[in-house]
Amino acid sequence: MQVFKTFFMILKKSAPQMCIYLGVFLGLSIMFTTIAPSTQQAASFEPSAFRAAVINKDADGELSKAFVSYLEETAELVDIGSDREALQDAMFFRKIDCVITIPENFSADFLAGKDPQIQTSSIKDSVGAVYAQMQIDKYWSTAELFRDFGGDAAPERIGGWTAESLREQAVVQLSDESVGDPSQNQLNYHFRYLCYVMIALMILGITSIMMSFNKKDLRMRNLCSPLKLGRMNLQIVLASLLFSVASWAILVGLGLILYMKSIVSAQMVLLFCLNSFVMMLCCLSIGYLASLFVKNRNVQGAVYNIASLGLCFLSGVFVPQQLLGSTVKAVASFTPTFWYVKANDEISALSHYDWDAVSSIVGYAGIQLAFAATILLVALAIGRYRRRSNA
Amino acid sequence: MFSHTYINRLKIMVRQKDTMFWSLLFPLLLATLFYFAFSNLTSAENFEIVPVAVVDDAAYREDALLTETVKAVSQESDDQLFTVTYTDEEEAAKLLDEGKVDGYIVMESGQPKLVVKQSGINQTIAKAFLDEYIKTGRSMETIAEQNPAAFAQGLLEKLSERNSYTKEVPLGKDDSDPTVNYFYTLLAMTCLYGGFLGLKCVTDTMPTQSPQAARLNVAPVHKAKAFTYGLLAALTINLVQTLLVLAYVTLVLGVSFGSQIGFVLLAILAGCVTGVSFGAFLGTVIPGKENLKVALLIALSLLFCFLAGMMFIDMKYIIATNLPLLSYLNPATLLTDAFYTLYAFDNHNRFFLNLMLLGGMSVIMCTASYFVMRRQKYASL
Repeated sequence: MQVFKTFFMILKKSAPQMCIYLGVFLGLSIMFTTIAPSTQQAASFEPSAFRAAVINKDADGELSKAFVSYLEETAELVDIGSDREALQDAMFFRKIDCVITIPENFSADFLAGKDPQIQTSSIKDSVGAVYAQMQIDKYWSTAELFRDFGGDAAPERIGGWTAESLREQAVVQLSDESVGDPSQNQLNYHFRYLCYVMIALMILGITSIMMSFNKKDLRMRNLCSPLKLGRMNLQIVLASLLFSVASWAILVGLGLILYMKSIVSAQMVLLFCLNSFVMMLCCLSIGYLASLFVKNRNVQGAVYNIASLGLCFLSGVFVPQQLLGSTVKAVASFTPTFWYVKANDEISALSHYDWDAVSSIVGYAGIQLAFAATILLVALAIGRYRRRSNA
Repeated sequence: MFSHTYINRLKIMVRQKDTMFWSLLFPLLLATLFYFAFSNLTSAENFEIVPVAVVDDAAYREDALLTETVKAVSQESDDQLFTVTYTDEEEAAKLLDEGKVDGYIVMESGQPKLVVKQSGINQTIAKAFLDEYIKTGRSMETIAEQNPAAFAQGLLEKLSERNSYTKEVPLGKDDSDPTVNYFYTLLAMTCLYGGFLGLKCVTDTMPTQSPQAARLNVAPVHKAKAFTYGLLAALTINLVQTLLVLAYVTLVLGVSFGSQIGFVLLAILAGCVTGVSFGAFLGTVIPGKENLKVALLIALSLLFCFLAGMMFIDMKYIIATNLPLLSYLNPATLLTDAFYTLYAFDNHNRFFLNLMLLGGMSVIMCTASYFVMRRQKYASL
């Protein structure tokens, strides 16, 4: 088993670089999963709130005060101050959906029937802005009713009645088939980013090793050794498999330990593992294919970065698939990673595990296997062609 | 003398394939990937008309106010909220399960109820609509108690009126697109990768770093001059690269950098100067061999870009609001912010603050490199 041992001796040399990847990946995974709120199957309906910054220039107006306290209940108010650039920054980075400015004397003007207007600055055409608009109009249309028909009531009473009318809300029921937001499951995040690091690690690992084995002089020396070529290749294949399975097991294991709380069921874990295992085989083929073109460290750096970043950006590893444009998705469906992410999203959305629900996921895994086989065959064909043309 | 050193330095650097890959092809590639991945990102926040189903039974038809308002908000217009499918309860549940509608409205003991599959903004809008309806009923009761004459005064006509109580006052650009920040950080990265070229200059001029530099050391050339000319060559290449990336990003990918092209070019010049000085600084101040310095350069530039929001856009805002000092010390953030202020604001105060900080940084780094390199003498190399 000399070849087998040599494989791991060479691998050791690339270990620091691969450890960096492991570290970066864990950092990414932990960061994104902590930022994403962990929502499990929701037990009750949670209305979304729009986020707004309120500038109240009519601090003494009774109705304006009442309006602000209504906003405090229905919206998520963010305190940014009234500096225009700070507000613009917050809006650009989508920390708020809109800025609501209550002009001076608003309350008095409103009560006097002058139809003053609240100033809003919002993100154009955004859903948060539409919702904010609805809520603001709702408040003031109610207040207007009481102003016009409440029989000359004092402003406090108008505010009180308005608040009371708005307190009563529609009943919302979740259907039996209710699901949480699948993309927010922490395990889903972990397994999605797993794909990136696996591609990078496998290409890095396999090409580093094959670079040595493929060195012209070394290769010629090996070929004239008493070890048969077939046996030599078999040992390399076994060693690569061991390397890949071990890296896969480490990555998956870490994820399961870190996000133990997000585990919904054993079946789900099993499906995640199956899916990522198939992806691992794909990465292995990609790594082998890449090793045919990588002759030195510089090319290696270029190849694994292009392959890992390219595949992951296009197929929805970094940006959720539902946010990709349809052309991008059409192109991405020619990559194995696209099917990996698709399967991943479906797994985390599953609520039961009968064949009907699981069959499509198994199908996606099958597509990935087909990709793995095709890439491997292409690589073998290229390898064979090169050997012949060199001979 | 100048042209000889300058031109040969240019040739040496352009022939460095790996440096050229990282400082030119890699940013171009990333820009393309960003473009494909992020082109649809902001559309997720756009309001789209909410598909709902209504269980069209006797109880629903009886409620004139509800039927009328549902009809009103589902009519095709600028203010359209819903597209409505009228159906029976079984079919409505099926539509909901298949994801064809976001929710359905059904009457239950005289009150409308909303059935949804999950919490979300569209579902919330549907709920807000029903809230409005319930509120109207509620306020009519209150008014009837307080002022029985209200109906005679035209309460019902008032109810059918739909007024807007707001006026949209844009803060600046009201259609600002946050994804431009990704491309701004990318350009900042390209500038900082000019550090590879600056570092290369040091490696070729500092006698302990390479045989070529040792050879140069015995040549009758003023070292400071040779080094400065080299850095100028590095700056030239970095500028050309960054302009190429800028041209690709604006002309091919159509990313907006605002309309003040002169200021954008000024920012790029400042960025490239900072990038090249950054490389020279690392090369001289950090002891050790070239590989270590290259690794450090990559790690630091990526860290800077990460903090400026290249991998995660909120990062820039998080740092700016919680650790503002760090924003002022991070060259990638300064450069990104310079592009951003040109895009979003109509004054140049923050833009010039950013540029001044970048300039100050470059001066400090260049001075430090100079003091490390000057008057070095070697007994043996």
